[in-house]
Amino acid sequence: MTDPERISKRSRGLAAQLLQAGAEEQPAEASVQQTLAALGASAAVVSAAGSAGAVAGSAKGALGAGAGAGTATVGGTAAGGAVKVVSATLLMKWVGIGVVGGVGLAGAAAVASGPAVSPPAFHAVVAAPAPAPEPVLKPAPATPELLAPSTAVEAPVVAVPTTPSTPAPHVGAGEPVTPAPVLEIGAPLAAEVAYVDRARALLASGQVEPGLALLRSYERDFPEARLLPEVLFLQLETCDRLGRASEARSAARRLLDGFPKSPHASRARKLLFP
Amino acid sequence: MAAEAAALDEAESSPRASSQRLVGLVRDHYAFVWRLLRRLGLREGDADDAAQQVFLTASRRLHEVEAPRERAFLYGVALNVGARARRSLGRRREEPLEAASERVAPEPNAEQVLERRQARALLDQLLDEMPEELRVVFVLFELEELSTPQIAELCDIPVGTAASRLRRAREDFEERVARAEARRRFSGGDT
Repeated sequence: MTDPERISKRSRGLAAQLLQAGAEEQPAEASVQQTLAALGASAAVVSAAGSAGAVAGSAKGALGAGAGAGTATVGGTAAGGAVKVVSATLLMKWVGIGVVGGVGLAGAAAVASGPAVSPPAFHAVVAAPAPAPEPVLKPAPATPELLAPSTAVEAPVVAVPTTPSTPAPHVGAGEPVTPAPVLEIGAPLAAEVAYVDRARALLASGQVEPGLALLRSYERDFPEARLLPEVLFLQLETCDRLGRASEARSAARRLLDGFPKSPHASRARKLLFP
Repeated sequence: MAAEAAALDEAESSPRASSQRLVGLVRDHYAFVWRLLRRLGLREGDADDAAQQVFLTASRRLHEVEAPRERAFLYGVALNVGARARRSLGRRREEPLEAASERVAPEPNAEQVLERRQARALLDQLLDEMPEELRVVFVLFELEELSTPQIAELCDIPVGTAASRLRRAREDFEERVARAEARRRFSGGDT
């Protein structure tokens, strides 16, 4: 069976014009980012719940007080499974969700805390599963480092200690914007979203070089690079606006070669093939 | 069967893999879902919200989705989410559609962006008047450039049915466009 010629492929006529206009429409970049952020926030919860055992833990949720501050706490006991601790500032800027409250996690212990400031700081510690088969009954370690509010200039850090008690590396206020080269294998998606959001915030506030430096170190810090298309898109847009054509084209080429179906691919095509 | 069970186990046991897959879903299918929602009658902001809802639903039901059926799954969720949104936003939507027909009067010197917006407003108005079963097939063929067999698979209908609906949808759309054009001429907006 042969399909008819598409009306939109006709060279003239109102019907073709209307359909071409419809086919060209693309979602806004912010719309894509918002959904990724929402999924990132969910992923942090899923990450904690994913190690659920057979015993229901207690859970409580709390909304932090103060201007724009959101603190979510889910505490529980774990049995027959792993204990995961996640401390995260969820991205209130982009999404209206992300505060975990009243979630009954079975056998998982999670702590999510931090102020929702912009740009948000992010700390996450994902502990490796406790050795099986011995049941682990251990509350989430409420270390000051995990629960202390972060400052707006703090660099995002995500670490994967080998045991739950291993302290997470911490970058304090006033240190360089570019984060230390911490291996981020297994970091929750929310960590990557927060990292990219921080770069976006820097760029938006006119701190172009620190922002671009963060973007350049993204792949080093997050080897899984699940948001690479978004990072390349940001590099492309920023460099293009700055007139750094070579860097913009390089990002566009990587974007187009690696992610031709990305919502950002059309922008890369326009830059490369005006 | 064993492979499916293994895949399910793997998905459940690996939050990281799930996250990776979710990002891939957004990366590969967001524009498709968003445009579908737009052409099914949602305004831009509403389509943003609905698209996010589609992917959040997908994140909760990820284990149900086999890799080759991801697009079909998202399509099904988008149809449901879109229908619910349209029902709840129906009253709000009426005004802009009426206004859209007013805005269709051409402005030869208008900027291209505005022309595109006007074209989309008219397109949405015409699509909104089409019967739902025709509209969906039409949008998937003309705007998303799926083939008839692909549409049949996505909509879970026989290929012959998809082809028949497409033929009727194209006739229906062209008739509506012809009427819209006639109205434009009648109103003195076109020469």
